[in-house]
Amino acid sequence: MLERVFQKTSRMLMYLGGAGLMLMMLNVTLDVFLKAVFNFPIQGTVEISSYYYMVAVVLLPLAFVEYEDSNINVDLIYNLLPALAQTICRFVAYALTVAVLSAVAWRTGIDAVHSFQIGEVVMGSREVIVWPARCILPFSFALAAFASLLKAVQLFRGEDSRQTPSRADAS
Amino acid sequence: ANYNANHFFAERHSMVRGPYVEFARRVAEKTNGDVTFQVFTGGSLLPPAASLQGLRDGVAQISYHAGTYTPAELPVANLIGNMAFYNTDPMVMAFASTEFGLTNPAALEEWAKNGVVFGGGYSTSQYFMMCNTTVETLADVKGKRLRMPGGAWTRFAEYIGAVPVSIPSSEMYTGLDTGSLDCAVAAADALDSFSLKDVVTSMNTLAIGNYYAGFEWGYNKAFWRGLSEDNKRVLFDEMAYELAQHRLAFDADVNKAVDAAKSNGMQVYSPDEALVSSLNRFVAEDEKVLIENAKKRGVENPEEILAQFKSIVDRWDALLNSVDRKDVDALAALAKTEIYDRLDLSTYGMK
Amino acid sequence: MTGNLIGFAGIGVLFLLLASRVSIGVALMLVSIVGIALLTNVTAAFGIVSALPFNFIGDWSLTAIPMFLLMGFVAANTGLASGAFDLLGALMGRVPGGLASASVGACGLFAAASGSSIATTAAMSRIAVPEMLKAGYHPSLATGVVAASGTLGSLIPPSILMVLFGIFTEQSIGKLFIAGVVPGILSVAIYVGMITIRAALNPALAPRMQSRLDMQLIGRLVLNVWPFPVLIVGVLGGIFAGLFTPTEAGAIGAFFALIIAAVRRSLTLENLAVAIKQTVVATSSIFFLSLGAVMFTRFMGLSGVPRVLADSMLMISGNPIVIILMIAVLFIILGMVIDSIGLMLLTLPIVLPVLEATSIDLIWFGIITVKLLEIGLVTPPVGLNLYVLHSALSGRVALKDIIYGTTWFIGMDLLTLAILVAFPAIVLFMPSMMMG
Ligand code: NA
Ligand code: NA
Repeated sequence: MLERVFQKTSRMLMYLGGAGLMLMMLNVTLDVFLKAVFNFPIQGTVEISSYYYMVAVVLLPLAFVEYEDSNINVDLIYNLLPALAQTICRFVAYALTVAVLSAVAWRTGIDAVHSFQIGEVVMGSREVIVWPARCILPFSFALAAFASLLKAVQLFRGEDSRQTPSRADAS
Repeated sequence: ANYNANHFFAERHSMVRGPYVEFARRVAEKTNGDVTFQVFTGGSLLPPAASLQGLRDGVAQISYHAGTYTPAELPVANLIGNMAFYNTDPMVMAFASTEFGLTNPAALEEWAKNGVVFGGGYSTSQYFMMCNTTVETLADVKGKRLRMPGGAWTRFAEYIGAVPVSIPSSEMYTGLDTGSLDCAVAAADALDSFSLKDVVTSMNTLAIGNYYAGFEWGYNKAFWRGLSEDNKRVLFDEMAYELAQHRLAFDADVNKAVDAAKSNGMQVYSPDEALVSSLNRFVAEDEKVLIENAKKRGVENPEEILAQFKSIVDRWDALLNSVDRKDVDALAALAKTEIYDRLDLSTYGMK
Repeated sequence: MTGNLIGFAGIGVLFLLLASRVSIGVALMLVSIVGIALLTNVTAAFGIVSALPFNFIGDWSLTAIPMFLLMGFVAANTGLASGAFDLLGALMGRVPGGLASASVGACGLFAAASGSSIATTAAMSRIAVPEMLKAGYHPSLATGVVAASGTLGSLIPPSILMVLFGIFTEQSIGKLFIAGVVPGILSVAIYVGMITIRAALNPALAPRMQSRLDMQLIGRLVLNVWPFPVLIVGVLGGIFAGLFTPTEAGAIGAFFALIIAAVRRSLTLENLAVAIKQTVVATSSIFFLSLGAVMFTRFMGLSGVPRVLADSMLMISGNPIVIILMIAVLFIILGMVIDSIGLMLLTLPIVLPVLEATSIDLIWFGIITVKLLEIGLVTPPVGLNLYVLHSALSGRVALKDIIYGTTWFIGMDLLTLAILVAFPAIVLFMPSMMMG
């Protein structure tokens, strides 16, 4: 039940990141067009792209990526290990991931609160308020930590599907 | 002991060479290794926008910080940093911003609130328009795309009918080369350090302020409190010396860069009367925007702070007339007698 | 001294974590946080966590990455790539090994629209390999050519690897892009030359096709395909002429790829959703890894390890060629076991001080690096391109055949590298034109 809700949520957030992607494409394209034709750039394009669209594209899909096991890893030695050792490795990996992502979520959470309190802005041709973007960091890292926690619990219960990870089409 | 020093400019820049690399070498020598700074440059320790934060958290024990990156955290420093057109003599502004940062109660409260101890200020050389087309008059400027460092500079661009563009300094070259930018507004050493001389054909000597927001040396509070008074004295003396030295080195770099660009064919224009008077009108009108912004950010008496800063600027304008402005030692002595020696080492930065 | 010790221990622990399949990003972050805490204190370690992520994600230059990924995934999912292969196949039908050479060409063309090698390989494996197998090509040639040519995705601009290299070394991304053009074309030419000679000597490898040039078919294909090369020339030309920044070029490229697909009526809500999903998942995982690398760079800097390693490398020799050879051996060995982005971000903090000490041109070195990392993509045991191909064909071709097929191409890569090292002008000529 909880897993179903989580899967739905993380997928929805992933597509929300996709919406950020499309908005960035349109905003930058329009900015180039207006600059070239009317000498009228859209003020704040750089700041909005960097601090809003990119934060959405990079961070909102993080829980989805973590749950789908799409983060980049090296499974050379892992593949040579016997089944039990593989299970232990996976468990350790999930536990460390939960620990690191929680720590990052906690620290960036402190920053988000601080940023909200002072009403943080960034400089540029226009001042852009950035505390809402700051808040996406702890939220996304915490959700990704939760994704790993779920995977660890599934593994512990022997429910881990062990699907071959769909590697990110990166590089 | 070993400590970390952070400056996000390149190691060969005049604001790093003397004030960080040479400074660190002499401080280590004079404190007998008690205070040994390892200098991290070019953002290899902290990104530009995070220098203040990293200093507060103790990632670095001493750091440069460009104040306009943190308008919300440093409203007082930005209030005076954006008043960049009142007096555009870089020597005056370097010394005045140092005295202000070390003595003004509102400024001191602000540094303390951010977990840092202000050590000394700085100033870049004057900001000029460096363009790929002739820009001499107010009429020439209209509709031109100017790369501006933000804040008051952006408002000035709009005031004279130009289009302010905000791009990282690393993209100035490409912008000018391809015409997506008409002018870069920056200190003229950029002709050399960012290779702008290859793409700039004209420079306008209208002095569009200079940049001195933030600090050249800020210290982590806990680090400062752990220093002996003797070692603090060494730091004060060396900062006084480098305050003077960096100004002369910066101007020398600018002159060298401008000369090289001129022999490369760059034309230098003086602004026409209309351009100069627009700047003067803008400066007068912009003061209320500065005050308004500062009030929005919670500064209680910005008018009073501005008046205090102006009186310090005027004081230095006069003081510097009485000294050989090419003599580093004379300038450093002035910084010591007029600023650093007047501070109480046992209490400064301790409360 | 103890700083160095902590640094080296950190590298050891990192490899241990990677071996137990902790994701590269998490492993890097963990080692960095603990390492910095040991070197300084816990507050400073978390200070790095606080200072880096937001500023790194907010770096304007990095916005180019999702834009180029989107452009490539849109082109792959809407059939723009298959049209290019069909046209080249029709043109080269009678040349020995013509279909294999057409695959190289189509990969090169697709690479010019895609920032990613894996995307290039994935797209072309589904299009070109079945055609070659149907025509009786030996499975090792049919798969090897696509596995190897897929690596052009990073050498021919745009390139995610170059964007990251440019950020980490403070080099102009536009110049790196332009510098990759001629080496990319050289790689294509050398591959095609090798295929033609091998196929002519051994017809069993690639049966000769009897068909004559069908001008009507070619005409139809040209009409179908032409917007794709035009888009590529527009985007790359725009960067070369400096009309727009890499980010702007990527956004415009993705936008017009969508428009072209819509006009060709090959854009559906479904394949748009797939392209978007692939883009954000790839972007998110690249950035997560890079974030770890950014922290690791700080840890290494504070530990002083890069300086020690650089000094010992320079003690062996200060000759740039010897240093490049040492780095090449390092990359090829590590490239067998580590993914390309991870490898680059792991090693740059260590090799950069050496490069700076010997004043090696960083644009030139960037291209050499990309070429070396690309070899890693096709060397077992960790060669992502091999696995992408293997799984895209649902196991129709044995992994050992794919590996055997690529060895010929790796030989050609080494030849290309030797040429690039011997004649740096091949790399640096185009970017020097750009300076005006
Ligand atoms: Na490419
Ligand atoms: Na490999």
